[in-house]
Amino acid sequence: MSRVAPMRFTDMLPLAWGALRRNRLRSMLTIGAIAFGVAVLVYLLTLGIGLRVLTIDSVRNSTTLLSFTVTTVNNDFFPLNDVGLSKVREIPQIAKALPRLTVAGEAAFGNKRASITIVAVDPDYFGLDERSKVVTGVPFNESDTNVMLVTTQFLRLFELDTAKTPLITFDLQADAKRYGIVEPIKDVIVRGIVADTSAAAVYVPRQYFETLLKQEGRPNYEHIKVLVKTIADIEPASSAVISKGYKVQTVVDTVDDINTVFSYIQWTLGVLGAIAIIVASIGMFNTLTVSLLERTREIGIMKALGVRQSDVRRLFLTEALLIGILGGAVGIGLAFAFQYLTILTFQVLALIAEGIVPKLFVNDWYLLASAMGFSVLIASITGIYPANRAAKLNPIQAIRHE
Amino acid sequence: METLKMPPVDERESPEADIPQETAAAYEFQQGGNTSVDPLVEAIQQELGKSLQPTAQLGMPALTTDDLPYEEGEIFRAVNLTKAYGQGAAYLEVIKGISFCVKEGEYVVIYGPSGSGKSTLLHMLSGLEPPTRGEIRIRNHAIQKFTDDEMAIYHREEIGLVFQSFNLLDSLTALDNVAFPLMLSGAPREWRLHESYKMLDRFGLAEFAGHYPNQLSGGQQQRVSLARALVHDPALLLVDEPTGNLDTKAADVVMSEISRLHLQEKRTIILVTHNREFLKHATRVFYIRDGTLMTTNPEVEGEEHE
Repeated sequence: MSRVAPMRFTDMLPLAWGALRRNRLRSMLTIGAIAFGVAVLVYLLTLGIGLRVLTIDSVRNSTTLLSFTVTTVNNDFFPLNDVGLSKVREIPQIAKALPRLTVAGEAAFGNKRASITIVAVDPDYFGLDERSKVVTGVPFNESDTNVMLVTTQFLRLFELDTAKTPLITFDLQADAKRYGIVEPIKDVIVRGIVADTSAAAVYVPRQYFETLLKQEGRPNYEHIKVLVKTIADIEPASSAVISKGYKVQTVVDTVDDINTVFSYIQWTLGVLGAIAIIVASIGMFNTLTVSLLERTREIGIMKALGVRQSDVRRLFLTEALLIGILGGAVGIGLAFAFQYLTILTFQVLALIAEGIVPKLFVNDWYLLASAMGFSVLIASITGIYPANRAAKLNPIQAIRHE
Repeated sequence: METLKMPPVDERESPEADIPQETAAAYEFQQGGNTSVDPLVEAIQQELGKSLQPTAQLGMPALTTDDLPYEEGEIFRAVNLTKAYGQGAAYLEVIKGISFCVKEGEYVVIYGPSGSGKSTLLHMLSGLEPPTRGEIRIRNHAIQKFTDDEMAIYHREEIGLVFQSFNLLDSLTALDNVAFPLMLSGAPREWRLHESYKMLDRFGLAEFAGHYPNQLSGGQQQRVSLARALVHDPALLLVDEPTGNLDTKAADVVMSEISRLHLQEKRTIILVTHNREFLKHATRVFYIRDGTLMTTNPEVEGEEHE
């Protein structure tokens, strides 16, 4: 006798579909369970990706990607002073090196005096990171002398309106004990407010301020912000800086850190979602096994009519596959619905709080495809045992089974 | 041993109730010491006008497949066939070492009281149940040695099966049930539905093609089952208690249809029943009691029967 061709998939599909349709409630519950698992998985993973993208975007927007920060690990050997600055400026890829000089000092207005921080920077420095953004007013020019920008804490210290630029002048004085006798700067006009909320500080023009400081007691720069022309310059420029003995902190590093943290979060969310699917698949296993018991007679009849063991096995696996595909598809749809509901909730909240709703979910196609694939895989694995059991049923015992 | 040879006609035509002494003795021996002659056997003999004998008395003693060459027109040959269930104290032999031969074109009715093992015998012939000992050959191929593929071919092409409880597939329409064997043989959908519809029409069920089994009466279901057993045009029809779940009228329709399949279409039929009414259709009766078999010899070619 010749070899027998396997049952065609196109013939198998309607049989499997018919079996699912015959017990509609049970099939729907099984598919629903798988779908719910897939939905939870997709929801959590897209939320994880969404939050990561949101965080990274806010980091990227806060500073330009074309900049990095140079600091030092050892102020004695690799001091961040004029020499250090000129060393950094020598690096060809570096377009601009903008140092930040921080000294302790005092501000006076009338008979009010307060200890403050004096930050000396170049005009280009403003806006390079979140805290140096100019909130109101305008930055000073390089040649300006008696002007400054202040923080809101500084205004609070002098009990001034923190939303407006005050139309008064201050006297500034660097700490005499630490830096020797420094000329006080008289009648400094406030030109604007910077976003820095960390301290009561004033931002003054660096070139003018440095001429006032005595060379001996002069402190080193806190850090140097470096600007490069293209993103490709970041890598060689930062390596060059490191080779000169300094330390760099790039946005790319920050993004990497965020990515690391979020990859842990995402794994956790993924595992939670996978648990949901596995719980659902246990339910599916139960369903398929019960369905097998119910259809024992039918399998017996099929075998008596000449359906081979391998065809019976494939029939059951096809059924499991159908449950997997339907569960995956419905699950992804359900996940979209959950996402929509979440966004809607946030929109309502945003309406009340007058905020804006960020993009919370990122639906990458490969993520959705993997969720679908995972659903089909789990369903197929679940189907193996019932399929094998069905294939090995004794036809006569099966036919007698009622 | 000897080839399976036909005894002379005069021996086979022994008059009713006139069983030779030695045969009766052998029969009593086979019945395990039951000395009284089975009244049913007498009744059957009366009805058939032939005497039933254990196969050992019919010129085929101690058949062994090795020694007997395959004869032309021989469909089934069973040698020392035994089916037992259980083990130890629960060990029970349902079929006790019977041997027989079925030739092409025969209409064999396996008759016996319920629990006598007649359905088990049919299941073994259909390859659905393996024998515990002994051998069954279909056209000289040992069924118990079939691979899964060979068994599938046997079921798909050689035989048509009809069951007492119809055994239609509940999830399929009548038409799809009939088309099922054709689907297995890989026929294109259009063609197999066309053929199946023709077959349903032949059994007067064309208008019920789209109905599901639970929407059909018992008689209709059994006719669908018959249509399914015949759609792939098997030479051999194995029928298990076809009228067991039917009323008299529906039973008559089904039985006359089966008779027609034998007389007009020359199909070989093996039918299991416990209804003596149907013995008249048979060319040969297998009387099974307590796992033993009594029968007559196969008829000679061209011999008339009613």
